[in-house]
Amino acid sequence: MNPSYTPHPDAAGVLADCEQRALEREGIPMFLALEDPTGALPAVRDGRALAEGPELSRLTGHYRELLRPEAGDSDLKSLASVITVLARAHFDEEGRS
Amino acid sequence: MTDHGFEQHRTALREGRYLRVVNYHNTPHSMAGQLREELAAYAASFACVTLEDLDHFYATGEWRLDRPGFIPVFYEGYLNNATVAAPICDELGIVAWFPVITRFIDCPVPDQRAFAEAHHIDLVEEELAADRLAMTWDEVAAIAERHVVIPHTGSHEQIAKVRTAEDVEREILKPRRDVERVTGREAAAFVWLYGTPHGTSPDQDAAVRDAGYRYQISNTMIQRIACPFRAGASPRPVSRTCR
Repeated sequence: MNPSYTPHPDAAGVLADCEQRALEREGIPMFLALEDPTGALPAVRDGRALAEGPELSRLTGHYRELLRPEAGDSDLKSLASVITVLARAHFDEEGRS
Repeated sequence: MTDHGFEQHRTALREGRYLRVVNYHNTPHSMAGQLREELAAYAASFACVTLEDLDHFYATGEWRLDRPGFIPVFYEGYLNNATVAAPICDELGIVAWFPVITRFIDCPVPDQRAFAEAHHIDLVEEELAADRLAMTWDEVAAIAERHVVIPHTGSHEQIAKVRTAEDVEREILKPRRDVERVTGREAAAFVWLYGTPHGTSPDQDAAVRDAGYRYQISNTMIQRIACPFRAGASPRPVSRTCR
């Protein structure tokens, strides 16, 4: 099965489910960005990441618009919520392919 | 101030600069079966990322992995991370990362529950009556033989409360020395309480960099804050130069 990266049909439900999880005892999947404030990170040459990354970026924009339309760009709490939904719905997408 | 936000995160994803991470805290015996099943499923789909793999990615832009990379992270230094999570990881051949609160490990056993309650360390109901809540330094050393151990501050402290030289010594410097002394390995990364990113507080950022940490892990990203050969970084065998 190829990854489809189709938006989850019930993103609000996924978010509600994430917010109900017991953080002190459950594993929470996330997609973390890899940043380099020193400016030394070379361009990524990993074919798998370059193929999947744009799909995850698109989905992040979709879920932000749907779930946190009022959030400012630097609202890290809202960003974390959206990434949590992204990970809950799509963490295994590539792994299933 | 860090300019990380939605757009920068989306850019990182689009450019292939991202990593799958699963954050755990308590791993009580009562949930061992579920944890084993969950980790086995991750291990079937993903390849664990070691510190050397992360260094390689930052040096070359390539993952030297046959599957997408991921890091299971077990926070705080709970005894149940040593007695439940680590053995399951070992059984499955998984390399995990363990950010430990070093003063929780130092804390005398009779005082550990009070320390936890005073320092935002969540406990699970089935372990409230347990004698010991934190792993020992011997257990830290054993875990570090197969996994990555890093400091999660000295006292589970938030960045805004680390102001004086004594605070910096207690929360940033000593934890690194303690982990490195016990494990014999570089403590390469640092994590604040609440996962505050690098770039929000210049003085504390400088203290973390000057301590020799090369990475900072936050709620939304991993930041490389110094290259391996920068002044202050621990000497370690690295076969390439930092770009």
